[in-house]
Amino acid sequence: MAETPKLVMRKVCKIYATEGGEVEALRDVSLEVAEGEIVCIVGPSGCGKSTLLNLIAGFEEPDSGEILIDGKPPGKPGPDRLIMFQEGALFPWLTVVDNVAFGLKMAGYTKEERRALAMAELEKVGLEKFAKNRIHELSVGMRQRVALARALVMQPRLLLMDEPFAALDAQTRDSLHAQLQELWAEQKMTILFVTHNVREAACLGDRVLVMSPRPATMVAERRVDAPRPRYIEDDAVIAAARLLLGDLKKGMEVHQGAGEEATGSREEGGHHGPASSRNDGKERSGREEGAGRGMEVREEGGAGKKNDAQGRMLDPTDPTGRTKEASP
Amino acid sequence: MTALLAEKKPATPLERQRKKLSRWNKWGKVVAVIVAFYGIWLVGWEALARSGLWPSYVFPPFTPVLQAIWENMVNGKFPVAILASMKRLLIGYFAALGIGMGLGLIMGRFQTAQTTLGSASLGLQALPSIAWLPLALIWFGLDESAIVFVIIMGVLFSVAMSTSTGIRSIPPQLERAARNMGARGDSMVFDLVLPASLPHIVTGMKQGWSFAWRALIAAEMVYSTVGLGHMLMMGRELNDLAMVLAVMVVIVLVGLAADQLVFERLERAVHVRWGVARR
Repeated sequence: MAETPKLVMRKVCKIYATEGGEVEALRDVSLEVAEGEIVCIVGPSGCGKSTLLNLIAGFEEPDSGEILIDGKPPGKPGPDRLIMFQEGALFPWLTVVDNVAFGLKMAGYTKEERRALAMAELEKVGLEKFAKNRIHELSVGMRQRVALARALVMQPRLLLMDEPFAALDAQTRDSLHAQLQELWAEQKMTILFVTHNVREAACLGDRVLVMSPRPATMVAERRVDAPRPRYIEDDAVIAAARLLLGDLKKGMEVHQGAGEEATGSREEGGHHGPASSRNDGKERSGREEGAGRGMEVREEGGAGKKNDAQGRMLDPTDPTGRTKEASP
Repeated sequence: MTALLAEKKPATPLERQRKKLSRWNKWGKVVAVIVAFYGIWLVGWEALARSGLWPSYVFPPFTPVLQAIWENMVNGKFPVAILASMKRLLIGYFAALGIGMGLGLIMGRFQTAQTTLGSASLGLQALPSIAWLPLALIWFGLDESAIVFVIIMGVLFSVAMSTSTGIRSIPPQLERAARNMGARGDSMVFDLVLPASLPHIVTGMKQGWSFAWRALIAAEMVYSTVGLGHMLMMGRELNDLAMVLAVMVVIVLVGLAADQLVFERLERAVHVRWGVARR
């Protein structure tokens, strides 16, 4: 692709200073997202996925590395890259329609323009009847639809979604998946979607990046080439999700045994050792299955090499490695 | 009486009707208890005062108090005093609201202001506001503004601290969402920070009102020529204890009315609208 990618991250590191010492959230994270692409980032809870979005949104700055949006550094937070939060982060003192119109107000639209645009956006998510309601009168699913409308009304070219459907029940989530794909087909904005759910990632992403636990690094990348709209129970989605699960479990061991080097959260790695050994076989068969369905499998270098270099760490039955992990 | 009512109407199978009935019963009971309580209190007061154990200028019965309230209402003394007191109160209260919210905003937004001004507010809050009166009299002289100053000092820190608390308890996600959508400077304050902390601010306003009311009466008792506090001291000087008690009753009633009719409702409305009400 000759054109500038919408989003580039190169070797981005982020370390937080906390009372208990430094916590390394991101380590050498690199990624590229093309214009109009949906890229899902899947990783275990608390691995630093939200940090990644905060950096892109401009709420925080990386300690090292480079972030480029349309070839330029992100700078201050702004409506060109909107975040949709897990809890919606809607304003309880405003009505539904005023929530959707908030960004337009900040951008200086007149009252009539705001109202018209916000109502049109609410119609797209099917909530025009609730325009005058208060946020606390809506169900969680409806709130997330309002949050989606509030983001989309600004017509962002880059939409950052931070586990927006994690708190929803299965049916609501499915319908929001469909709605999101529909809206994306219309507007073709670039979406970076963070989740801990592999099925969701496989369902929504053109590409899925897999992250390890903290300090988060990219451990795998997979392209999902199934036609849209996809549903969470599609065979292709299930197959891709199985591969991702394998990647995820392998990612759990990236820092294992790195001992002195990895100071991040280690407790998870220890527990997942046996599970991943069971899954190695599954993953292999899954990969063959996936290839048959047109899954292109491409593994990123860095993390894989690390595993190779410390091949011992991949062996979950290694007692020395595990005890080291369990007692920090 | 309520028991009688419940028996007269046998429980119908319709649940709504039963619920209505039980609600009436509950209210009826509450009203009956209240009426009985005050009835016994007033009758006891009257009987004790008329028993001749104490002279009436030490312990007047209830009826002359009621009479004093009525007379002073009719001859215009109470309305004039209430209006004069209210004027001072409102000027002081709203000035304190403005200054207090500004102070609270600075304290809530800047950590340094919180550690410095916040600790000062906490300390000054511990000072009963009437303690400002000597200073106010020297600064402003024998003037209305001295009383207004005392009221402001009574309300200011309570409003400032609750505003600051409200700002500090805004969920960071809301602030990020607003920044993300382009809120900056002024719009951040007026479209996010103040509305988001309004539930706390209203609670501070309600508390501030009761502080203002106390400060007002105290200041008026020490120095003023007209007002409820002044009437109270006039009653003492004339040895007219019925008058003193009448003024006390009026002070309670006016204070209660403002608290229940204005602030309780305001607080409730804000909490319901913000979705933080206890249901």
